[in-house]
Amino acid sequence: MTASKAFRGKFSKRLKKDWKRNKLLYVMILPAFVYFMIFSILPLFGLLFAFSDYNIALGLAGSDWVGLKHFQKIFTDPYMLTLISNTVIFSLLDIVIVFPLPIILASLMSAAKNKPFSKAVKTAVYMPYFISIVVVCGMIRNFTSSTGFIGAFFQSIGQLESGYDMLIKPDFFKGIITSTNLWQQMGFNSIIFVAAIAGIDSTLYEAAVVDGANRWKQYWHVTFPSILPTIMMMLIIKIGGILNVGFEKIYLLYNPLTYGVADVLSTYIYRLGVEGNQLGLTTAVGLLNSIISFVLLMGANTLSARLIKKSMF
Amino acid sequence: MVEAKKSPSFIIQKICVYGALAAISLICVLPFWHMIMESLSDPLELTANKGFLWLPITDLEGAWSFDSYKIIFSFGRIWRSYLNTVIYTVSATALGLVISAMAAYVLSRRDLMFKKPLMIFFLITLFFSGGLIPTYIVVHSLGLANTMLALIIPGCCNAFFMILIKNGMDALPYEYYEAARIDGAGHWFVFTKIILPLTGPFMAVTALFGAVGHWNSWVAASLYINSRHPELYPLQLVLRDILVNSNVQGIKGPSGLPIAFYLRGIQAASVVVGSLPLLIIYPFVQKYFEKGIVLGGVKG
Repeated sequence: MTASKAFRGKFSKRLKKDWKRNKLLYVMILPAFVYFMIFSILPLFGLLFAFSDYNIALGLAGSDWVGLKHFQKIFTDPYMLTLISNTVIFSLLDIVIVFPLPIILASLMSAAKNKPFSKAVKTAVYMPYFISIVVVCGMIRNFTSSTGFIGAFFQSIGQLESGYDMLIKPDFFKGIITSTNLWQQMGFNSIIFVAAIAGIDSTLYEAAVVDGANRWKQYWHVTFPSILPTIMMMLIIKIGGILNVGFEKIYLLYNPLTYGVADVLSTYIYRLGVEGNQLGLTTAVGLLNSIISFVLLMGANTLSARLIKKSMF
Repeated sequence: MVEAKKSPSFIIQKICVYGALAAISLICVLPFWHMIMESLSDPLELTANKGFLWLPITDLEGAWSFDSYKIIFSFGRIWRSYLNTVIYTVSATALGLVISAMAAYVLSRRDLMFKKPLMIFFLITLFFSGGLIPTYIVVHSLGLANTMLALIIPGCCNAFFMILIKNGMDALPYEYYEAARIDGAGHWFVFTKIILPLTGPFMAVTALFGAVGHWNSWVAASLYINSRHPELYPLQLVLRDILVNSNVQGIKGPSGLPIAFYLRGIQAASVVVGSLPLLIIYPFVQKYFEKGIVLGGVKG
């Protein structure tokens, strides 16, 4: 008792001293604290709406608590399977195509030693990153329309009936999204790998040359193992985000004809939640999405820790 | 990498590397080149064109056409939305920077009693998010919807950039701070006169990433500004109407022809008008983006 009393005494004394000394610090951090309370912590409590028929016009008082109703719908609605399979396919395409190419680009960039040339290449390959998604989608619509140069190409090789836009054809949709993601992200995503390669100790290469390694062998035995931790770190983040396919591009480009191949969890949440006002159901979908993502992230992290002894946490 | 120079295999490798890089660079740039060429083409000739444009399609006298630009610049909503986007980008970036820098300064003091709980609080916001719908409900419940503040306050801060600035401040010698404090300087003085000037590059990185994000963002506007308030639209939302919805309501063409005849030219010109500011600026600040990615990547 006395010990805890003494501790409490000490605690309140420390508190007083800290307050006197650092009063201004607490004032300075207040805006950030309030900001994150409102825009990060409060929405976390908003996840409770997953158990309600929340209606934005009626507010919480006018909304019914419905227990697990939305989760029952999610697990029985066959459309959820379409959504999940589209989401996972988009992500796998992203991991198989959009993820590795920046690594190859970075390897090429670090092999080109001419300074002005490298600078020009960097400026060119970063450019698409700075174009907004809305504008990119406008460009995609232009190129893939029946009179656009990509649309015209597919017409000339007989893959597209003349007069049709590629965007109303389900067959093209995933290809369009993935290839344009690659175009927009490849350069910018290569930055981190360029930095990783630049950080490799040059004596490793000198030793490899002494051992008679050619450039290809130097790459596989020095460069690649050295940047593997960076690659794994980025891959873990990708795997954690398998269900978080960005909705912006798909939302701006899909239409009811392509929903079957285009609709993903995030577009569904936006369409039904914001436009259809089904806030309870879509919060439930978002909640499940976050839980699965968290599990995937942790799983990938553990796997990486086991396999190459590197992990994020 | 090291190898005997001038050997034939070395030269072939070099050609492959430079060739591949040149090809990739061209692929990155050419789509935008095509849009610029379309925007300078005669809009009426353009409508039926099917191929890639290396040069603009000239009008009957063989001259480039600025008709598409004339049409788009005479469209009042573009100018209004440009102004809005500048207001949103500058205010949100500045507000975010002030809030983050102050918090970062506090979190990099060693003698603060509640430093650890505060740090955990900000880390939680980094890893757990309520998602789109709950955030949407919060913003609407606060009555921010359909006001300019809806595009300035939510999204102005994020814990990632805050921690980036904090790491920058942590990297400074702590003696700077201690010496100033012993000399009787107050926190505000140390923050504004000593620490902030020394964390310039970190602030620049966060400001640039933030500004590009705000400039190009359309989702927040589509969530929080409804179509009854077009005067609050940022540029990207007006561009969405023109480019994605092919909605050219209110745009006037030069002659008696229906505006649809000019649509493709108008769309090309708005792509250029909407993207050019960033595309002109970024090469000059490119190194900060590289730096930002590296700093962010290292901290995971």
